Amino acid sequence: MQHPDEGTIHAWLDGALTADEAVGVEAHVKQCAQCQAAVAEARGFIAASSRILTALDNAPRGVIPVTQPKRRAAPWVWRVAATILVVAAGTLVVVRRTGVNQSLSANAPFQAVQRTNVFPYPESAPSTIVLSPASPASRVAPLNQRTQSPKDSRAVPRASSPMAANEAAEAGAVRSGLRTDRQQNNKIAAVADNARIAQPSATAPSPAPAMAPTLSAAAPQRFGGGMGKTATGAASAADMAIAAEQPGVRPVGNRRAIGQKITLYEVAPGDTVELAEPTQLQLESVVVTGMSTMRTTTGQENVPAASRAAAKVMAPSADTSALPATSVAGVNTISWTDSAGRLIKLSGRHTTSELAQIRQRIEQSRAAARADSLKKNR
Amino acid sequence: MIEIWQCCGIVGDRVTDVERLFRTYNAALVRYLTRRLGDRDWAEEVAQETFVRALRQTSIQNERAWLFAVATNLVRDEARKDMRRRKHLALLAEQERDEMVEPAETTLERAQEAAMARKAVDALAERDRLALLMREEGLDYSEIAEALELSPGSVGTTLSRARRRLVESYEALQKSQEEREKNAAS
Repeated sequence: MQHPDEGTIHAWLDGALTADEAVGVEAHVKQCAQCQAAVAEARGFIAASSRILTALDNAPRGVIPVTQPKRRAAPWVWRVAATILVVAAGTLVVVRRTGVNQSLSANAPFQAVQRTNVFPYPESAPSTIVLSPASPASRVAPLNQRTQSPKDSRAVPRASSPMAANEAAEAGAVRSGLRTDRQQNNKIAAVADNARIAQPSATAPSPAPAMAPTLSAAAPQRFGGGMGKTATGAASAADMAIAAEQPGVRPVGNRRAIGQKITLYEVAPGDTVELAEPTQLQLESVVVTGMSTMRTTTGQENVPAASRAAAKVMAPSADTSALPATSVAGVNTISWTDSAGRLIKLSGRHTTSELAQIRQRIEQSRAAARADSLKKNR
Repeated sequence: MIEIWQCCGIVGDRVTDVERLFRTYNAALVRYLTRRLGDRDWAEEVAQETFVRALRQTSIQNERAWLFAVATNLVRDEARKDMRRRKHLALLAEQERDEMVEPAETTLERAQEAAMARKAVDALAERDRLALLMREEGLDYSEIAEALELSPGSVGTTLSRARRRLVESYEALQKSQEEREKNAAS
């Protein structure tokens, strides 16, 4: 037999030869030293190559990123997080409640007032707010404000409302002024009617309270008048203290009017009051652009001499800070002068004492808003 | 598990067959591919793809030869498809990996050995390398011939040549490494 080639020796060692071929190779190798050396070398290559290839098994991972499913956080992590959240929230609530309770216990009258305000109007009729300023624009204001009269006609008399108790107590104190108030209402109605047809001439109404009618005071008069009531116009010290604890009111809208800025404030859900503040008006803006446009000026440079004279005459004086309130169809109005001398009116379906409290709340809200804006500007 | 395959139009019997194939040959196939590619993750992906291909076959005559041949062709083509089925096989591979004995922590010396082995293997001709790797995984000569489309009589020659060249190449690398270490020491 010829010397088997290297391939055959490897095949023989790998057991890949047939039985006959294997017998022949084995017989040859036994008697051939050269082939025995070749077989030994082949065994060495087989073993060595196998060992070398084994070293390849330490191949690194991560050459190709493996898409592992995302592992969710362990349940205990969520439990701990939830516990911390609950404890923190509970602490916050307790601290806040403690503060509120202390305040309430020190102000029992406030609690009583609050209770009466819970259901002020079971009929759910929206409170009508009317405020009119005793300003030069008051002559034309009724035209605009008259649109409020249908609301007033829908208003429900407050005698049956839960506020009746408060009002009854108050009525006793002011009963003596009832007749005077009714007379004033008649005068107001007359002035309002006259104002509709009045020319904006130099015959300006006097700054007296009765001559500065509000629409709510004028229009409802035609539907049978109001309850007739006077108000002190100024909050008592106790009321002021109560108002200090009242939650803030928030402005919910503005109503367009000539010569005045009318702001609706929500004092309770569905319960609004109206705050009217006079603004200085250029007469020509009314004439040229109509009622839908209003321009205010801070100076008197462009105001005609006649208008300036009228404005001067109609400017409210400081001694009007305690004007009597008006009441028509359950809508009361209180008025006062602010630090700038403007006559401010606040109207709503509330008693005068409540309106005084609401006034305090509005002023507090405005002061807070001013403080916030100052902070932002800094 | 069977539902996953059924939704792909694979009948249950075929699934059972392929799972048997997987459990029988996956370790060897991954090792073969790892040695071939130098990356375990890539090797596993190709192996999974190989078994996915097996699912599509109605019948396979020589399972091991077929698997290694397909895996070799996949490496060549770098085909990576059917992610959905591959995920399923990844689960099986994970179970398989848990049963495997992981090699000990790689030391610097072993890392050097691996690097030299990689160089030596890469120095081989493609056919020699594949034949050698398949033989290391237990494929007989007929299977290697089938997988690599060789004549059965040439497998011995291919293997003997591959082994000799591998060992000689490795020993040459080893010698040069020792010389560098000597030079560095002196």
